[in-house]
Amino acid sequence: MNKKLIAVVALSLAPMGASYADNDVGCGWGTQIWQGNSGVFFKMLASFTNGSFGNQTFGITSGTAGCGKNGTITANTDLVRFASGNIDALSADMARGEGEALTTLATLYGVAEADRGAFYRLTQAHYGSIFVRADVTAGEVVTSVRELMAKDAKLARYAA
Amino acid sequence: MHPFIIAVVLFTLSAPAWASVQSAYLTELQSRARELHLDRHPQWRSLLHYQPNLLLAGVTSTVDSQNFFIAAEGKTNPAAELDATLASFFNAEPRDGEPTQCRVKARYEWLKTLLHFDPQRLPEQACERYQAWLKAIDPAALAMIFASSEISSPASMFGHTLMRLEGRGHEPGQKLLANAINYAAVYDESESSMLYAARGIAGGYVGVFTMSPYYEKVNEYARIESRDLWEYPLLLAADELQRLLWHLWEMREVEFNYYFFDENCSYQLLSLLDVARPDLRLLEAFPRPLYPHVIPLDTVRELQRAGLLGAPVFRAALANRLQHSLSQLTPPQYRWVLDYAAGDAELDDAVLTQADIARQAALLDAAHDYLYYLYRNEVIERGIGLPRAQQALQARSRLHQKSDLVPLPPPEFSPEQAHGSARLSAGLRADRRGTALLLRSRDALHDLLDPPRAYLTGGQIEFFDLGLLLNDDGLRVQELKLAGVKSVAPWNRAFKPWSWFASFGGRRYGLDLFAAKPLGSLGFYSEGGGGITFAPAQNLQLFVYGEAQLDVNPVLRDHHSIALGPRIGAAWQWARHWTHLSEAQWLTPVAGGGDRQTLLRSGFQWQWTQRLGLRASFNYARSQGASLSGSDVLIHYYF
Repeated sequence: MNKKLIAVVALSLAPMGASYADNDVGCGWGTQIWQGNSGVFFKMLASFTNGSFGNQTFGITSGTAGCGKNGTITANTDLVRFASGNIDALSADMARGEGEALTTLATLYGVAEADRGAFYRLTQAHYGSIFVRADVTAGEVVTSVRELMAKDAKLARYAA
Repeated sequence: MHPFIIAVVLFTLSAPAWASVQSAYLTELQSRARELHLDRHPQWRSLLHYQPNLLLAGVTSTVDSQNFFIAAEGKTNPAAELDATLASFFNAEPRDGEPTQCRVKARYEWLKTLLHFDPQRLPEQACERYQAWLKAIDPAALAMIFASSEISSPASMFGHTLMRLEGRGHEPGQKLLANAINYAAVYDESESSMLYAARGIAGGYVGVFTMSPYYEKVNEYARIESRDLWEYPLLLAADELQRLLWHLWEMREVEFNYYFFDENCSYQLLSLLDVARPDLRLLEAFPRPLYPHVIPLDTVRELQRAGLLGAPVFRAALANRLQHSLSQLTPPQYRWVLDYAAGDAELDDAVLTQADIARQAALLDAAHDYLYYLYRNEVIERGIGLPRAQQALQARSRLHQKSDLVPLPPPEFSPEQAHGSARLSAGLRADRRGTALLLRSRDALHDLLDPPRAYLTGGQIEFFDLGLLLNDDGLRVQELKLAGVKSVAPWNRAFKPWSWFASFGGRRYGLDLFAAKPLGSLGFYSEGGGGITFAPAQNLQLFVYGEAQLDVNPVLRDHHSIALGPRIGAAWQWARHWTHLSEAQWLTPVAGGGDRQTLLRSGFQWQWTQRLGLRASFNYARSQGASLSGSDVLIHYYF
């Protein structure tokens, strides 16, 4: 219990810390589709404690320090973190060409409202190449979507 | 005197002189605080989470972290805590890595305003970490989130609340990126003991406020668990939101003992709001320890009463959306979805290929979502389910149309319209031997005849349900159910939950169960069973259970009986105001001195208002050749 608390405290300070000597693990680059906790026991435990495994932090969503190489924040940090937390929903949304997770992803790429339709069509049309394998990672999804945008006349300006 | 001159004078003063200026000012502040009785001020009580003691005079804080308090005896002594807090503001020594003024930000700001701190004699220190945190979250608005229940998870029937802190500049499509403020128990990932429930109830966990991306909560509740979310804007002014954030900052890493029933998520969120708007005093509606539990739905209603809630937004759980989609398919299409998930049908099936494009999209969406549901509920393995789900999505991505199915509409009743969790009832019981006045009191929460509005249909959870009979013989306890849970969860080809029930407490035995003038005495009982439910129509559930019952009662030979048998029943939620429940039990004793019994109950309830309902029940018991039939009529008052 105490060790866990210490971990919570340490993590909770991460956003305020000047440096956080970790690699990209915290951002979720390596997250794959259909992972994480589920099942009956998890649900029972979660409903009794109102908590969830991991992430009992006092962290923040955006402006994230605490992940990114050697404490530096890469342009992809928010994107990868979001994609990692929502990769299951993103996969379904991209195939459907709509959905809340996909809309949020578009805003994180900075895609203006007028160009969102083009963004949804792009990710739907290239769904097969984005989710090419079962073990594709959140980092790969973010990178390949950016590459696709770079080749698209309308969306190239968001891929810089 | 000009501040600059003061500064120069102070600068040139020797250190001891400066110290004496400060200590004089501290004494002045402390005595002014005493004159104003700030230690007894409601806001000081809120900030330090003081609650009146049950027996002795005085207060105790619900906070269990010693370092939350500045004074050693701060947990029980508000005046000493106040003196020490004022003194600490002069102290440059960091507390948890920042000036104390910053670590206890809300306390500092409140005292600063009330006592008009003189910045010359009490210099304000820079709160770099707080400012960096504030900048990162850039708060603009706050929402209260209510997580409804899932039938397969009894603890979830209690409900849950959390808050969502929305950042400025977040577009409408970015609610997922907001931060969730949650109060939760901290537990170890390696923990696999089924004792977690007992620990959660008995205060065996440490509770802390956490902050995490809202999308994680949406995934947990609405995707992994099947719990709908209701999102209420909280109508707070800017200065109120600021006070809440100051307090949240000082509450970070602060530990409480976590109690599932009373010192829980909803209780702690109310404590934040009490600090935000001092005249709210929301916690006073749930005086502890008199009030044995703080029920999330009750707190939602309390917030509504205080005028804090805007109109809610409904976010349906994935499984509930899927169920609604499946209900709109033709039987062959429905079968195709299930067969595809099972690996018994493919994408070249005529049912799929010959449907309209929009319906094809709907079928592929459903196939994916169903596989995902099966995986999340451990029915199917990732290695088997994922390739099929991905194959369906690949096909789906080639269809450039939306599904033609109607999305799941929000339920007619939202949580703030739910009945109160406590119930008092009065009425009459009559059988051929006589009549009695029937009085009932239930602490919580919901049974199958209570109006289902905003509760889970088919879910029953009850605590401390006391029934009293008043007749010529005097006042007697008819029954006392200490705890009971029941789930009537429709089973169909796609969703296959077990239905089950369990309860224990005190009751009478045999014909006395329903008698106006019971002859025997009160005993202990526990019962439980499992079975299956079918829903032939939208608001009708038929169920069959196998059950076991234990009675310990002096009227029984050997003073106990264990009986087994089947139970069948029907529950019906009819129109807006009517509910019905009928059950029949046949019990055969297998140990002890019980009798073969047949029990029938049939009840109707008509709900007049949110607070008032009328219930009539017809009961029949047959035991050892004797039989008794009787009826109860009760007026229920919910609060």
